[in-house]
Amino acid sequence: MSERIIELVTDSFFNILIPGLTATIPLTVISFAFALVIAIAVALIQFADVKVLKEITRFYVWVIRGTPLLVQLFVVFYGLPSIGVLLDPFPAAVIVFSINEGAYCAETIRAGLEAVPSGQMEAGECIGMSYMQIMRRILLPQALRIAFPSLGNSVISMIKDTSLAANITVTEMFMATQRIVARTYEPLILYIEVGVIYLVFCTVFTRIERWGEKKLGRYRI
Amino acid sequence: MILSVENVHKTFEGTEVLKGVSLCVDKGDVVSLIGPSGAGKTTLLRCINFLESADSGTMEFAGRKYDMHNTHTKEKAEVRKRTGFVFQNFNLFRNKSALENVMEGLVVVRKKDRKEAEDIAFATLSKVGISTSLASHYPSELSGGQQQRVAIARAIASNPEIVYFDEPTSALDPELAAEVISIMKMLADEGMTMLVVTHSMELARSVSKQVVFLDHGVVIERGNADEFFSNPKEARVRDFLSLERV
Ligand SMILES: Nc1ncnc2c1ncn2[C@@H]1O[C@H](COP(=O)(O)OP(=O)(O)O)[C@@H](O)[C@H]1O
Ligand SMILES: [Mg+2]
Repeated sequence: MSERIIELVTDSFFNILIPGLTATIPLTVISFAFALVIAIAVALIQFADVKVLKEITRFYVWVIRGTPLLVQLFVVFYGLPSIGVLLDPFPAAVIVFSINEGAYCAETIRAGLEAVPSGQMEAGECIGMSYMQIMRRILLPQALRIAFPSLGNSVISMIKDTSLAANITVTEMFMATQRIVARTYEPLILYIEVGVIYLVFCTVFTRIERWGEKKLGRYRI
Repeated sequence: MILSVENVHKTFEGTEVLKGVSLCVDKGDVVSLIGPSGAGKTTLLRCINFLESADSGTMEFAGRKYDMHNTHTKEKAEVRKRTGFVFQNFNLFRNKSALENVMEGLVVVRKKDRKEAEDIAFATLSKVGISTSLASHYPSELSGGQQQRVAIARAIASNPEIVYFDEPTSALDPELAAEVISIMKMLADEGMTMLVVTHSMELARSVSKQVVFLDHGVVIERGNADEFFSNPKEARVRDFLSLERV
């Protein structure tokens, strides 16, 4: 019995790990990078109270946070083709994950900006810096520093959430596991195995986050 | 005369905090703005540097007139480039070292190259008694007195025509306050033009040439510092001074 388990695990290990390294991780990293760009833009608009744009960003955050990620994936991948927008699975997943995570991170970064004391902005104004200069050089770095642990958690959630991309035919780790299960009829062992690999990925990213926080820790906020 | 403000009014939530204040500062002068808590001293200083927009009032700075209510962003920047501001609670940039705090305005606003800015920043820091080894420290790694001295260095690094101080010693323990007072004394002796809001009569006495007494948004008395302290005319000022002496 145990020999059979070992054989099953060793045989499937690389078949699961490789999609993890070629799909799960890239999907996470690329989507998170785009999400950060979206989030910073949205947070800046909301923080600066830019008239019409602010309403648009609030609508965006409201819709994204109020609907399931799975529904968003289905709308983009299965829904859009009916109006002529056909996307490959991976780019479709990147788009949805970026837009989804962008809404959550926007709130985190906006809260970070609001947590920076108003004296920081005023000190910048008093030496003659422009709003954008203060934002770029003083406020945003501090806000991101404040938001860092929370953004780190978001990355970790995202690693796990990418398993949902299996539903739109992205061959990531979970999809790869399902295929092996279909062939071998060993759901218990294989799903535990993929769970352990997710656990390892998340642990590695947590370590990276801690390390980054230490590096940034030189100035205390 | 480098600065004059006229007839400044400011209301917060229905309460008139400044009721037509006028004030002028000559080049090389050190003017102390004193008065009880809540008199409107901070508000006046903030209006003068456009951190608050006054309800009305005009300002003449370095020969140019400005409307203190409708001030264009460009005008604000133009004035701020030529003035320095020192806050009660320092407000050093928390994500920058002491040196970078002083360099920031030189590099970003004055467009000096990094090497030149660094030289000026080191020189200015050493002038306020911050050694080269402390220059790489972040604000959180400095004492209050050191932070305030870095803040003064940041304010004076670009040779402003006037420096505003809002209660520069009131967040500090007495020994640390003494450090800051001695630096301000040195600046006063060098002929730096300063407008100083303070609670510390020690500071007002040791640095100022002129004193303005503000209460409930109105200037009650103004005059030469020696005369003001030795022979105040207004009863309210006498009461205030006798209380402060205790
Ligand atoms: N941003 C503000 N909003 C509302 N009221 C304010 C604000 N700033 C100051 N005040 C009020 O204005 C009055 C004058 O304040 P301030 O200028 O700080 O006095 P001072 O510096 O002389 O102690 C106080 O009654 C204060 O409560
Ligand atoms: Mg005050």
